[in-house]
Amino acid sequence: MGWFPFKRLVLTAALLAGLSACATPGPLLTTDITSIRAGVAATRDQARTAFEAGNQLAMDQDVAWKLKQADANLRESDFPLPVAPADALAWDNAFGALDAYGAALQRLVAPDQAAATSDAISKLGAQLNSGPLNAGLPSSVQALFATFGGALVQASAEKSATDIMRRADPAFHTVTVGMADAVGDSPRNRASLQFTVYSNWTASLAAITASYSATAPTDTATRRDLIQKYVAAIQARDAQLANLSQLRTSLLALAEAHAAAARGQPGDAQFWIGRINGWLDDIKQRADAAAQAQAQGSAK
Amino acid sequence: MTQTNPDLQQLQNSLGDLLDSLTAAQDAATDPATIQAIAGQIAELNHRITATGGLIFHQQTQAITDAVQQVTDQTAKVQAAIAHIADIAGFVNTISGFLGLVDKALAVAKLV
Repeated sequence: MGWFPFKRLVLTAALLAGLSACATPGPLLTTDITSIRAGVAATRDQARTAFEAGNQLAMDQDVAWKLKQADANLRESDFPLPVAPADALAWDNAFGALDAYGAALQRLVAPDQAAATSDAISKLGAQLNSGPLNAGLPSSVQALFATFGGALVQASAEKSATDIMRRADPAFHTVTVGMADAVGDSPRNRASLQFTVYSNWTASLAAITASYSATAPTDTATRRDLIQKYVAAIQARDAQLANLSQLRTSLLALAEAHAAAARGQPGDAQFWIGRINGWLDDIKQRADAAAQAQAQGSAK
Repeated sequence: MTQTNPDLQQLQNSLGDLLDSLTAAQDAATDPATIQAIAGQIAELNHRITATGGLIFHQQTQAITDAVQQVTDQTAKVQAAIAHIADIAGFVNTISGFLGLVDKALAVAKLV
């Protein structure tokens, strides 16, 4: 031990061990960011399911409307949709941007970044020992330096990630809450997708009612079929509106999860994402049930 | 951030009020001709509501797209932070490599 007194080395080693233990706050942030990415993916699926169902319904109504028009021309504007394909793509791209942001954060806090620094420090220690300098660093101290270096890098990465998340939070909030507002909390909100979907179901139910009124009271078989079709349409409408409400809630939950992670409250973030994943299953079940109800109603 | 046109919202509100009135009228109607005529009016109205709703949704989507750009800007900052960390490991590796060269030079010097 030429250049470093042994006692000081032992004290330094003890200090480094203590520091390295508290430099890494653990994998909580990594878990949070992974959860938020999963939440973004689940909400993206919910949006796709909801948009497809709303557009299919509107296209059916557009065709029914067009068949009653006297003019001989066909125009694209004859077939309006609640969500134009370009807007559906813009939403998909928005979810893609949120996911890319999450993926970058995930890479930033990934342990392999810190491990690369630890490896580099280990190599440097070996170099100092084996070269003409012959530093004589004990292997335990080399390991501590490497661990501490890696821990510092990890702590720095996590601090950078948290700082960026705090700065990004207003924009993340604007995106997700803006999406939630566009979907709407109920059909009573007329500047919302929910109202457009509700209007299309109202037209569908009105047409079934008209068919029913045109059927003779003695034709009970046809009337029964129309009643079943009417009831199935009500069920499908309610399921579709419930899915849109759930999508809105998921978007708000995503905003909450990001805000919680940015504030350093990992438990809160995972709570919100856990709910989004549960809701996705509900939405898929309801969408399937509504499609079945519609198919049964149409078949009769 | 792009705002939704208030005139379109106002129009959709008016169309919504009319839809409610027609639905109530159809519910109250008793003769088939009236029920069918109202259904035709609802279909016409729904066509306008869907078109207006699509326009409102488009404007809301533009506002969302504007805000997404701000998230993308932060993603670039994350990439810069990743590059910075990679630089740290790269720097330590450069020192190791440099020391290796020094060792070789010294070994050669001892032989001379």
